[in-house]
Amino acid sequence: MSEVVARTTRRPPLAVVGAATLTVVFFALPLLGLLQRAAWSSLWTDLTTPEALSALRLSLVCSLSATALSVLLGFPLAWTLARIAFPGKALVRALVLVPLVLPPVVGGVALVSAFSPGGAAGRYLFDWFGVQLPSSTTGVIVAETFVALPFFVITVEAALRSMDSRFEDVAATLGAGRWYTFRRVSLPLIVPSVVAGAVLSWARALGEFGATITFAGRIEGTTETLPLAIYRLLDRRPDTAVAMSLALLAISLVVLVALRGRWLERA
Amino acid sequence: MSLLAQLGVRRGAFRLDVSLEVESGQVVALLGPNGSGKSTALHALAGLVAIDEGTIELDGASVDDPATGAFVPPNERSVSLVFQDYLLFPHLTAIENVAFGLRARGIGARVAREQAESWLEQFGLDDKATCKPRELSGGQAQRVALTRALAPNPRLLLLDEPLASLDAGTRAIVRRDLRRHLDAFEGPAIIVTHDPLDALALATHVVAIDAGRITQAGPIADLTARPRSRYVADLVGLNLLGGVAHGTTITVASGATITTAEPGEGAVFALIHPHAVALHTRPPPEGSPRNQWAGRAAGFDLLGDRVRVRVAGAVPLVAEITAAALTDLGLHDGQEVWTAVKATEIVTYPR
Repeated sequence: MSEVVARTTRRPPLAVVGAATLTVVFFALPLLGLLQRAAWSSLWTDLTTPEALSALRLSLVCSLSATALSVLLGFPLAWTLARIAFPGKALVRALVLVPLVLPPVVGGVALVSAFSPGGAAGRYLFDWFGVQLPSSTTGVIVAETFVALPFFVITVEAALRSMDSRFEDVAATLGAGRWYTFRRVSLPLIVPSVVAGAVLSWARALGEFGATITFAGRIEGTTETLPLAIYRLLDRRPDTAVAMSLALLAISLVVLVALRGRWLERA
Repeated sequence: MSLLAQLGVRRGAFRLDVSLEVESGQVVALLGPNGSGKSTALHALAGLVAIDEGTIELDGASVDDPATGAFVPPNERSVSLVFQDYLLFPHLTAIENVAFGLRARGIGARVAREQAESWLEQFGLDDKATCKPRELSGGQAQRVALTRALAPNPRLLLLDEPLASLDAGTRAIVRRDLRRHLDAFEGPAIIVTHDPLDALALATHVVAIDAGRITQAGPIADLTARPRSRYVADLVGLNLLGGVAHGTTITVASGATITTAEPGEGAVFALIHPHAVALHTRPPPEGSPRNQWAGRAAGFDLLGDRVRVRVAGAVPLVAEITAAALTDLGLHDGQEVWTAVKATEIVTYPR
């Protein structure tokens, strides 16, 4: 039996496999470098310094808030794009995709233009509510949401569109209104994609640097998230910067592995 | 409960124009080839598409009327639709699927569950209550889908090709059960099918449609006795020729004539049973049959010990002969043949 298989199976193309191996090495080397560079003996002390802890806490709070906002704001938009025909839909979809391709720093500049107290919308935020987004934790959350939201919207919209919408028809003929149908039928059917979209958004928010530093600035304890702290400390205290990088890497890997089997593969 | 509908739906070049009247307890089969507009009609009745012209009345109340702008959305229409591929909610168990319509109408979880349980019991599905749809066989899934549709006590029941996705073996059993459940359903029901056997087995009335228009409507018996379209005639296995009668002569589209025993005038159908058609491989000698036409053998269908020979020509016919006769004649595809039919064997009725 195995002989037959061996004779009928075509030999793998060596050049392609070689190139693929090189690519894997290209991905693995930086990670290995990070592990090799780490000062393992002082890792714990580096990570438990007050400034590291505050950056870590800020990163988690802001990225999770941005994820929650992305879900809250992204769902209605994804549903509208997937289910309602309206003029200018292509334009709206393009608009949603802009933050994906826009250099984050440009996104930051755009946010400043709009939401700083002198900006087009920020003026009213400041005058009416006394809200000043730049240099505030809320500003970090806004910047992170701006870059993270598209991941959620496109993932969930794609799921809603690829889902058999006749399930919604069946629900309607059984007497279910729109909200009941969404809650009991559509949402359960696309849960894997919702989770995948939320995880992608969260990962993007956690790693956000350019838009955050441009829009919210870098204020320790208020707007300095882990990536910002890493950037600041890389020259002066490289050990701490590497330790923080390892912490970010560990968080990402844990979430990826935990969700891999359960959700991401199905989505 | 009753349904009175005049359905006008436009979809690009396609036009559906069908009127339906269904009383309580009646089961109407919408019979027609693929693309004839059967499913569109069902979707319009369920409210999944709005009609462009006409009206839909349920129990005397308008649920869709473009003239007045009245439109009752599907979830308020109380019209259940069973899709061809059932579309059981894959994430819910059988009992949750059945309870769905009850819960959606605001019935409490406990009561809905009890009702769903008793429905499943009636349909012999109590042991499948906690199964997910993927664990059900085709026949079981069909029954769960029907149970789910019946549980909210709809004013109108619609079934889209209910047996089409089943294999031949299960089909006969499910057809028999379905008949029983349809008999028990008190409201009007409509079944869409392209299979005349399903229509004959399940329905009390038939509405045959083709290209969006009704070709024939009436009780089952009328359909089989006097088909009014080639489609229906083919379905019941009869030759149907349209023509214009003048006395005992009918002139068909090709210009050929048919001689009948009964005189008639104007547009008529001539119905000829395949076993009334005699086949000859040479021009038949003068004999009693008044009708003789030349043609070519254009195909053979074996039906047990009988063979149906399709003859193409000025008067296209299907002749039914025995397999032994086929061998004796030595017929082959494309061979020149003559058909002969006695005038007394031809049934005519106005078009």
